[in-house]
Amino acid sequence: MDGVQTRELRGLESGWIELGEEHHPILLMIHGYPDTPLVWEYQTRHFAKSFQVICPFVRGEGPSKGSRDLRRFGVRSQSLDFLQMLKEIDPSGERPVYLVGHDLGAVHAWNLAPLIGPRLKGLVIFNGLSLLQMLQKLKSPRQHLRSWYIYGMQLPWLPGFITRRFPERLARFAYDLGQLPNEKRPEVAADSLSVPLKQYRAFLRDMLRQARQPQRPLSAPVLVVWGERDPFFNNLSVKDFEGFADNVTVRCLPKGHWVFREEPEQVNRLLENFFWQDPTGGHDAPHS
Amino acid sequence: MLPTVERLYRTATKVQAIPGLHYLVPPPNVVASDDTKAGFLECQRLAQEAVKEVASCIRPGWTELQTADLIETYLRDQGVPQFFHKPYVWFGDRSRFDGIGGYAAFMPTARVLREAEPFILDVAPILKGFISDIGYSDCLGENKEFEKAVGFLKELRQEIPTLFVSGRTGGEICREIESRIEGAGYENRHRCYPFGVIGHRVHRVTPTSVTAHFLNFGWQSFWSLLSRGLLGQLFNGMTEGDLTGLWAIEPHIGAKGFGAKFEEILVVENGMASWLEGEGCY
Repeated sequence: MDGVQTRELRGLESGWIELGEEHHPILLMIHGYPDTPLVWEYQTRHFAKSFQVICPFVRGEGPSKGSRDLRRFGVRSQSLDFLQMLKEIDPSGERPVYLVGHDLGAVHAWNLAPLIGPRLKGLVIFNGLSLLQMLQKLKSPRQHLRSWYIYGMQLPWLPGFITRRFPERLARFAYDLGQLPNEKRPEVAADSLSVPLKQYRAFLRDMLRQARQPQRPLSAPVLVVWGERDPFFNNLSVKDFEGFADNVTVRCLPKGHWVFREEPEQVNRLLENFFWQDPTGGHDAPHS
Repeated sequence: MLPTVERLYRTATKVQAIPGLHYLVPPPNVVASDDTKAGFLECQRLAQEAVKEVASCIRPGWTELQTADLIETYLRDQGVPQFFHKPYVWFGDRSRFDGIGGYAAFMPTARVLREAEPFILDVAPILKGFISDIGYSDCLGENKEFEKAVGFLKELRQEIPTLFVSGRTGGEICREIESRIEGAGYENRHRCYPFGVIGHRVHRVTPTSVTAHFLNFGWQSFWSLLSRGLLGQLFNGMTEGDLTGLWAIEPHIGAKGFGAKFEEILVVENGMASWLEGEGCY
């Protein structure tokens, strides 16, 4: 895999894919499950000309080593890892950052966004919610039914056994459910599907903890691009993001959970419009 | 000190008179071995690494709660199972305890950090049974008054070990430190701490997976201090007796609009004092 960088961050080996020029704004793209950073290939190829694109491997995936400590898979611990990663990539801490997350990567992105501070110029979310948004969604019984797999992931031994024994079948099952056509499916790292599962257990603990803390809305602009045929979430609306950000735009497409792979050209145009909005109405263009 | 608090304080000292207590709790006034000092030093360095790392990431818009959470996360990720006290984070005017009334108000809040604002990070992890308690002050952006305050703290840090000459009580040393702070034009904000302490002893405790925290303090912090009578464990204007042992010294000064402090372990033995770590946090 080209462009893979690895460093020891806070005692654990962490890896990311790095493309594009170092002096450009940073585009940090966090993948979900059962994906790897290769899931972003249609976007990385397109935006590597204008950004330094950084696609981390989440904890337990690929070169990012796992840990016996479940806490290292949680949003707070991985946020610290991502912040250290950003310091490695940009020691000055001054380059603008655009943050993108999908699925579990969206959980990370929502948690990381306020920590990046004023240099965060935009947050893009694909079919994913923050922990507290998910908690709100879970007030609906229908969402509990759609989230059946999350409950399964809380079991201590079985999910790991299934993913180690049947990795390709599991991936195929997930992509079938998410309605991603065969020809659009990314390469799956069959040997590292079990460890990142711990994120589901870690996130549940983080969710209960975050529920007790006051939240401030994000001031950076947010673009939510949502595949409406996503079977994992129940009826998305703008209300799901009320109170979480001051400036949210939601774009729904008649696609599945991996909308950015099903319709890469259309999604890339949406991203271009978002990144390069009129500065008087939104934020600076990426090159400034 | 309030009369009620002082009565409580003096009552707690009677714990020392409980027969057989010394079988459970080692006496405090002993010279620490090199291995023991190494254990405390490892814990202190980890605590300093954690606060410096989080301080380097901090940005305008962070809240005290988020910052405290990240410090705790950092330390737990590095194997810290419990705390003498969990992180305290004070931004801007809260760093000089303005607007802080009851004890609960010292806890981290949703207060947001602004550009050029000083802040204090204070945490006391327990690692392999060794307690450390560190305080670190920094500022987001340029602030000349803050830099001047830190310059004074660096000088004070150099002076403090020299005050521990034989014959002087802890109370006299504390009053000497206070007069130097006031002489430099700052306020003694450590008077706002419980019992007005400028420091407290740190002990080795039994490593355990049993964790419980009350008002940000771990059960072992209550046990390690109360079981030894409390009075001799605190460094304030009333401290007397043998000072041999390890102390977390934390002068906290108040300037206009902000406060600053440092906190580190001071080793007192054979009538002399020296910082556990030669170089300070700054």
